[in-house]
Amino acid sequence: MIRSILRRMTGGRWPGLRPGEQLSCPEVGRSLQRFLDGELPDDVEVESLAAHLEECKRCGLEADVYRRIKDAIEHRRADVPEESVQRLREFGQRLAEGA
Amino acid sequence: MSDEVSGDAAFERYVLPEVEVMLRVARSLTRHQADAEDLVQDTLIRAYKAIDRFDGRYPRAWLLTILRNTHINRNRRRRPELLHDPDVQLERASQSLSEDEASRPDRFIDLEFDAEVESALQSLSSTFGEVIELVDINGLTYAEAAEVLDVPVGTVMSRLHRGRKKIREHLRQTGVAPTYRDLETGRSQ
Repeated sequence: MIRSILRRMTGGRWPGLRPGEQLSCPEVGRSLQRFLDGELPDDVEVESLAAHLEECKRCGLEADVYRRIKDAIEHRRADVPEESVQRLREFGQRLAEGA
Repeated sequence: MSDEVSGDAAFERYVLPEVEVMLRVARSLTRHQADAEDLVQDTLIRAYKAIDRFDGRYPRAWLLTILRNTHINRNRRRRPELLHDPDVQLERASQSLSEDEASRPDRFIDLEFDAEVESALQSLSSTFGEVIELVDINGLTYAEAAEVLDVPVGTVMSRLHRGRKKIREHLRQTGVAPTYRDLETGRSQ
């Protein structure tokens, strides 16, 4: 608990998580987006957060909703026309060959 | 650039594999396929001229910086009246969404959920929408999105998280995705 408060006071910088240490729900809330984006640099925090999401229904539900939001947005991605990519690569290739 | 690698070889090694990512990001910036291709072509020329000064680290970030600056310069050169002509803007917006962009048959679609996400996205200001587009649609990392937008990584995180939070709140208000508390109190659905 004290470690959790200290982490909150230092913006999550100190003290670092110990392996197996529990994260609080507010801590999970602060790191959830970076976790879902694969942008959490600390493997211990990734494991602790994943374990918390397994056990905590409230945080697990939020994570699930945000995953679905990301999924819905990601699938708006349009395929770029392969011929456009190819044409631009060929253009670059000609540059490199000094044509 | 290392003496061991010539500029032309470095260009082929570091730049050409990034063409597809550059085209995706260019389309996000220009909202128009033809403009996006022109932008990438200009970026390739600038990258080629600068390749001897590139140190070989983080080629994507380096290219995205060139792409962003090229985009800014191209916009400066455009006639202001063209940029502000609503008919031109409308035409560009309609051309930016081709019919095949929306459909992906290889995916289970929760129509109601997706429709509300779309609705929420449309109502977001461009400040939030552009970050979500770069990260969630174009697959850029926070650092790469920061390069494109010329803002600190912390700003990317903040805008991204606030934008998603607005979408999440919209889903809660429309009853598509209630919170745990809503479910506990029976307030939704």
